[in-house]
Amino acid sequence: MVTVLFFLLRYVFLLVLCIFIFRLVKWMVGDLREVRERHPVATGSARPVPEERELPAKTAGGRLVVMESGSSESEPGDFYLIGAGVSIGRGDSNDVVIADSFASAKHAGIYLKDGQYWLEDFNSVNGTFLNQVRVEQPTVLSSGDKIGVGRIIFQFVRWGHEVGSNY
Amino acid sequence: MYSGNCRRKAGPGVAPLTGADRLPERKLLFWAGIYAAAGMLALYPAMPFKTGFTAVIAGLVTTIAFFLVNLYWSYCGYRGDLFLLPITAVLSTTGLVFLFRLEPAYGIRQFVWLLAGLAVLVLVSRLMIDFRFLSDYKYIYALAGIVALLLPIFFGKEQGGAKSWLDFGLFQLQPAEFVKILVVLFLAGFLTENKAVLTAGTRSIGWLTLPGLREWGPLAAMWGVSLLLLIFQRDLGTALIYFSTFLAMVYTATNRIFYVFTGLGLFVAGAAACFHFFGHVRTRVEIWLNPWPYIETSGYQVLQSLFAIGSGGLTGAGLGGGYPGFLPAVHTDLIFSAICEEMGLLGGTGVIILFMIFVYRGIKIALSSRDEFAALAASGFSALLGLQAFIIIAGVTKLLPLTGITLPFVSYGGSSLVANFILLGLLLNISHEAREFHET
Repeated sequence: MVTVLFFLLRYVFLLVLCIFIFRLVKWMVGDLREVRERHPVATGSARPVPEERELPAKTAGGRLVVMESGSSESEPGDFYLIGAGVSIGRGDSNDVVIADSFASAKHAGIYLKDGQYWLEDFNSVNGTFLNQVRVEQPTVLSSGDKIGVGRIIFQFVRWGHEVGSNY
Repeated sequence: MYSGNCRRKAGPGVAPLTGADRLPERKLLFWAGIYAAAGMLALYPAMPFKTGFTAVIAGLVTTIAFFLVNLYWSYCGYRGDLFLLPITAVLSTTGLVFLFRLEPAYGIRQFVWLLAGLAVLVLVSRLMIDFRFLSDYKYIYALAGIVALLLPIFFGKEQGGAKSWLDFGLFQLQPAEFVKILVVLFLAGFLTENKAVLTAGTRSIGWLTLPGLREWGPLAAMWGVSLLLLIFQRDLGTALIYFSTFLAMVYTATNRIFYVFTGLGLFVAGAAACFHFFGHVRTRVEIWLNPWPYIETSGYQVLQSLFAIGSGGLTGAGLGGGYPGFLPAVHTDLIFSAICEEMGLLGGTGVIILFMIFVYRGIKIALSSRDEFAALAASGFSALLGLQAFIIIAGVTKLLPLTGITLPFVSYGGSSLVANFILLGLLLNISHEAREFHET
């Protein structure tokens, strides 16, 4: 009896391997479904989108295009989508993270108010510059404006607005 | 984003983070535990009481150790991939069970190395969680790698025709196993920096655009140095892994198939030269093409491997029912043949599927990672592990010439096991960062 049991165990070993693979694949398929449900379409979150990828055409809002990058992290041409608003800074909790020692942890923010985008400086050490002028109080942005944070210069581009000739 | 301190799970009122409790991982580890128990219990009657008891205890402790890693990560809110650890658990359990079955003394040592590997895994997931600093020291890696490869030539100890071990008295280390990780990190750092130039090229010869010497020089130099060293150390399998990983990473970074073809051309030229100049290479190739005339001598190993795989049939002889005593180097190079003999086609395919899923998860991590360094490192690590498994499995089934390398996580070998756990830890750290980035 015991001998038979041990003999069967030899094959139970193989059987459990097969069951494990089956369970593993099942969980992984579930994981793929979850990913699809969680990210149905790329929404207007602030995530760097490589240039060649097509954007959803009707994304409301604007974007920040990197014009000059002081660091190696981002390259000119990279852009960040601005949904309802983004925070800019060196800290990892920001929507737009800048690896630049001249940027403060929480440097500046852009938010949507009454259909217009506002730029606000969060008391950063080295200041936020709008078209080379230091921002002292929240200021309305218009398409084509250049925003300087640290050594990086972004250009603000608003959807549905006339894009400046320098873009 | 990440914090160096251990964090608790999200409290009440805060939406629970998807996957942060690591439940799927725990459920899969439960099956891995049953697998270990079944294997060790099946071995139990065939062994003397004391070894049998040790084997069962080893299986139990291994399972508990994997669960502890899972619980610790879940407590810390670690977000690394959920499927890599169970896959690793099943692969290393398979190795452990077979080592106890083949040679209990190796089994016990592998068990100790496995626990050390898990400790290293936890350390890597803690200390290197901000792995990005690794990209800053790429030339140091190249240098360290060369030194680590050179050391055994002068201070090494020869085992089985390859002089690649360093003897530390208590244990031996094989630096080449760790250099693999350095190679991937170096290439990831270097290719991130020079990707644009390598892709576009700076000068053109006819229809071809090639980058300048400064860009491809270090790559060619590093490759040449490692190849030369490996020829002198006669560790051909490792050279093959380095080369194929290198090609895979260059292709990933540049998307230029030209480099792959050039690399393959170089490899064929190099192989032809080795065939002419080195006796041991010629023997290997001749055995590969037709092992039958050498069945008594040098062809014995690969033929025994083929017999073992063939005699396994669909479901195998059952664990403990085969005759792996005929297989030379069965605990390292030929462990896959022993698995096929005793678990048959199903078991062998199962192991291959596990490696394929591992690579698939790795590529998935690379695709979701935040930047090029992380993506290149992740794809390099998956390519490294997948190619290593492929080369040795292809070797024992006579698809490629048989070379002396380990089957990752399965074969006996402390250095290989610990190095693979470091690789796993880095891969998990990359996925941890990617998940935090995409979900918060």
